Amino acid sequence: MSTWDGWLILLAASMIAVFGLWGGQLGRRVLRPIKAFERLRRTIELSVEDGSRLQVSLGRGDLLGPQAAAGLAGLTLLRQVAHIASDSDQPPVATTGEATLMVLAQDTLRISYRELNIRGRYHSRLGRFSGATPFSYAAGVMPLILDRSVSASGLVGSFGEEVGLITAASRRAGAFSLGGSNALAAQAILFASADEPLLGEEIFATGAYLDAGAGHLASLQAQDILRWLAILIIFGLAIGHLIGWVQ
Amino acid sequence: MPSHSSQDPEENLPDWLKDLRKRQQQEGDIEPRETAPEQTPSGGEPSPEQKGEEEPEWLLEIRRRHQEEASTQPHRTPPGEGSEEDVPHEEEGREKTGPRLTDTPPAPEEAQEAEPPKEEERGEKEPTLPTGELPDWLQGAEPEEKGDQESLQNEGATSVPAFSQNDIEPLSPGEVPSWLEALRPGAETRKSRASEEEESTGPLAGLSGVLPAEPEIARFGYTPSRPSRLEISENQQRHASVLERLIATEGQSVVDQSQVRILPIRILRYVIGVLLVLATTLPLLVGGQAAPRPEMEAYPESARVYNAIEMLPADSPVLVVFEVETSLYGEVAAPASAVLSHLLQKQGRLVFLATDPTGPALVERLLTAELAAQPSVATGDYVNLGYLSGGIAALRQFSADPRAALPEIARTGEDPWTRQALENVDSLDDFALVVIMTSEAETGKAWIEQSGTTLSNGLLMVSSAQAAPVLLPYLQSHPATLNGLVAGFSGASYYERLRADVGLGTMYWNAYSYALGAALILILIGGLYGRTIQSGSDNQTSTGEEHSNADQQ
Amino acid sequence: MKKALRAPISTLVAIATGAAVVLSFFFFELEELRGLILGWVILLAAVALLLGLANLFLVHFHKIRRGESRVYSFVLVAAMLVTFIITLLQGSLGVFPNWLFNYVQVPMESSLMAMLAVTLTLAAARALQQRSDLMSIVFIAALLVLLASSAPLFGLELPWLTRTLGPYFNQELSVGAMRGLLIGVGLGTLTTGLRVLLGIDRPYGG
Repeated sequence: MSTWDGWLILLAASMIAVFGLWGGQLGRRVLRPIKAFERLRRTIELSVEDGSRLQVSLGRGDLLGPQAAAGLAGLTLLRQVAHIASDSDQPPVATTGEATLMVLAQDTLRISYRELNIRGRYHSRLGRFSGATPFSYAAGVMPLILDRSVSASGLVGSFGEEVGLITAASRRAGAFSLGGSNALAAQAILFASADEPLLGEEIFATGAYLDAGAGHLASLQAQDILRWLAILIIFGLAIGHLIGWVQ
Repeated sequence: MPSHSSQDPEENLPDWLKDLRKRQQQEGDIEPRETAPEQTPSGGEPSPEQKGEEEPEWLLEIRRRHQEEASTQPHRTPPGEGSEEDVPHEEEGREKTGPRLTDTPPAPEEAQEAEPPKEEERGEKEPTLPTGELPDWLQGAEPEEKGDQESLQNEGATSVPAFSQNDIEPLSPGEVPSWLEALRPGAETRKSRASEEEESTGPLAGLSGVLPAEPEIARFGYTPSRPSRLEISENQQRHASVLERLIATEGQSVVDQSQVRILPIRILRYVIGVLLVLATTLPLLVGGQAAPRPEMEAYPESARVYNAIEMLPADSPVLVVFEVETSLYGEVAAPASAVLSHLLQKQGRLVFLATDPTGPALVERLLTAELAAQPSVATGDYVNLGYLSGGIAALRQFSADPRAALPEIARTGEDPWTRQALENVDSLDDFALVVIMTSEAETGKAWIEQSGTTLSNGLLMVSSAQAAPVLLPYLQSHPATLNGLVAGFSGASYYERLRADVGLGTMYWNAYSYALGAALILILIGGLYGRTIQSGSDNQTSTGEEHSNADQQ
Repeated sequence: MKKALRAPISTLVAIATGAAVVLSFFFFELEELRGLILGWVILLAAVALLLGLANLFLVHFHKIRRGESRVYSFVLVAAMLVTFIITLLQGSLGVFPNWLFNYVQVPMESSLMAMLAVTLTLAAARALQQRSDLMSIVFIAALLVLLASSAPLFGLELPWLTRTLGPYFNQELSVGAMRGLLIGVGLGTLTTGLRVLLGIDRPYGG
């Protein structure tokens, strides 16, 4: 890892710290509307009213690589869904294709129910390991959706092309599906098959849009600034290369 | 219904009329009216001289006409002589509204001929008015006994009523319901006035317009009646009907529209599946090479792989990392077998590794199924290092120090570094070539980023078609991280053309061409058909909305 | 352990180990520590895999007891147990495990992949019916161009598609878009990781 990487990490960490600690004093941040999250919130509330279940798929990304971040975004979604749907007759179910993610999903649900003083509703089967390989994972999630007890599926994590089978099952069951992944192939499939796709870095905005805390808003802010910085650098280098300043 | 014959009609007259008649009688112009019908049952028409010279011509004309009609009427019993049952219904109706002046007073001569007992029964004289001043209809006040033309004629009345009872249909007094009575403007005021009019208790009894002796709270009365009929507006009626419809449908089961939609979609899925299977399997069964293989200059990145392997010295150690998912094995097997076949042809010493648990088994399957004829495979002259757990972390560790990362082969417990292929290998760069065979772009990226920069020769990659676009930019990077790429069926077919070989790539190329065409046509037709249906339903929806808007307006 | 104590300790451990791994990329003296920590992580991942298998077994066992989709759950549980026991006895190079892998697992996963092809074809065919905005139309148009330029269609090659338009879409247009998406994903990955490192996000039950 080069020193530039170190400076980038330091810059990002500083921005997150600053915005997290003093973000409120800098002014209230207005987030651009993302229809997927608005519809997700409405769907969660509807499912609470009609007593149906929610299903959150965290993908199959292990915690040892960059795909772990997508899994962590899925855990944020799971925590917020557990809070919003705490009044539901049927608690949300988390499915994973990676065992370490399963342990974290169980922990997330357990902690959420403890915070809500409904500890008795938690059991270990709420966080499920559905399959060790991508398609066996999809094959394990599909029955949960096809038996029509699930009214909405949140697919946020590291998915591959197997996500197409899960969204197809959601469509057949008439359930709402919201999906996002770090993998490009999965994003393309979700764009065509999910009710509400999340493209690019929108999955990492899950916490900010579902009111997970000021820290999530701060990191989203830092992410936006870094993105604009990257755009400026790319433009600058391209123009510099064009006029001969950069080789 | 009160009896008319027994009651003195004179008593029903208001006071002012009685006074008026008194004055008339005193003046002697008009005889009391009640005597006129008895005395003049025929109701003869008085002569103009009898009425006075002031009568207008039109009145005289009416009387003359009336007399003519009266002469044709049958004889009727005088009212005073008849029983109660003989009382005409009109007279009963007229009784409700009070006294009515329907008949003209009789002529003076007839009035004089009135029976004295009648006058005596009444006990008082009615006021009379000069005939010249009042019309006939205003003279007299005995409706129940005065309506009969014959009685008037019998009495010899000199005056003929302008309108006889036979002409006028007596109006039955309307029944005014109590609630309507209460709604009349000033009803409360009238009531209050009625209650105020006369005090009934206390020292001020009999006086009106005084403060009540009893407090209001002590007075009990009937509450005014309210209208019993419910007034409903059109809007309220509409809302009520909607609510009624909602309640009526509450117990009815709703048809699950998703089930209704599922059957056509299921059929469509079966049709698409059958067509794709046919498009894929028929060319395989028929054989031949209908689809031309890619041109020689089509894929330069694949040509670089070919060149790199062509320059490989014999007995060189080659690391082959097999990062292929089980589901995509079928696709990657084609380019992988072409490249491995070339490597084996160049007598490279193959060392296999996988960071996926199914990788080692898939390597064995590939070698056994596709390359069993190769001498190295047949003799087992290759090394399968097996599964390296730890994902990218282990990958980085292996890149830095392979021996430390993999001290032994997990499946067999054997020390691989004693094998001939690995005896001079201490780092990744000691391998002549490093070939990454992957089905996913992320895995390929991870290897490029973690180990590509440490290799002096860069990496060679064999991937699925979906990973190629993500990996292509690495071909142009400086320093070189990726030196060549063979991707998918197109890459396999091209590579086999370069080697003048026929293998899985060439075999699948035909089927791939037909399946691709079938998928393209299905998507095109389905998209156009779906768009047409959607446009039609959008038009229907917008037309329905326009109609409903027009109806509302 | 009391609630007040558990959260700070978990957070401290997470922050400390994360910081150590990050710093080891800049300070080579910490490389051994990084190796040690990563070794523990790999071990934990292996143990977690066993936990996952146990969870899978329990979920389906529970389904069998409750009578929900009994047949499928019974087949899964039975297959799990048979495969586990036989592989434990014969090893992964054994005859029966290899036979199971080559003639059961590989065909099944390949079939699911083939089913995906049918599903995606259907999804693409219905895409315009579900969503008819500009981006969906562009998506379908690009899909059709790329499919047509990947190979000859029904044995007929269209050079203007396979040699001109296809490479332009594949290597010029789509690469730039993909890079943009990947940069965004990378930045999101960075900030998400930093949230965990700074203790803002605590998915480990803190």
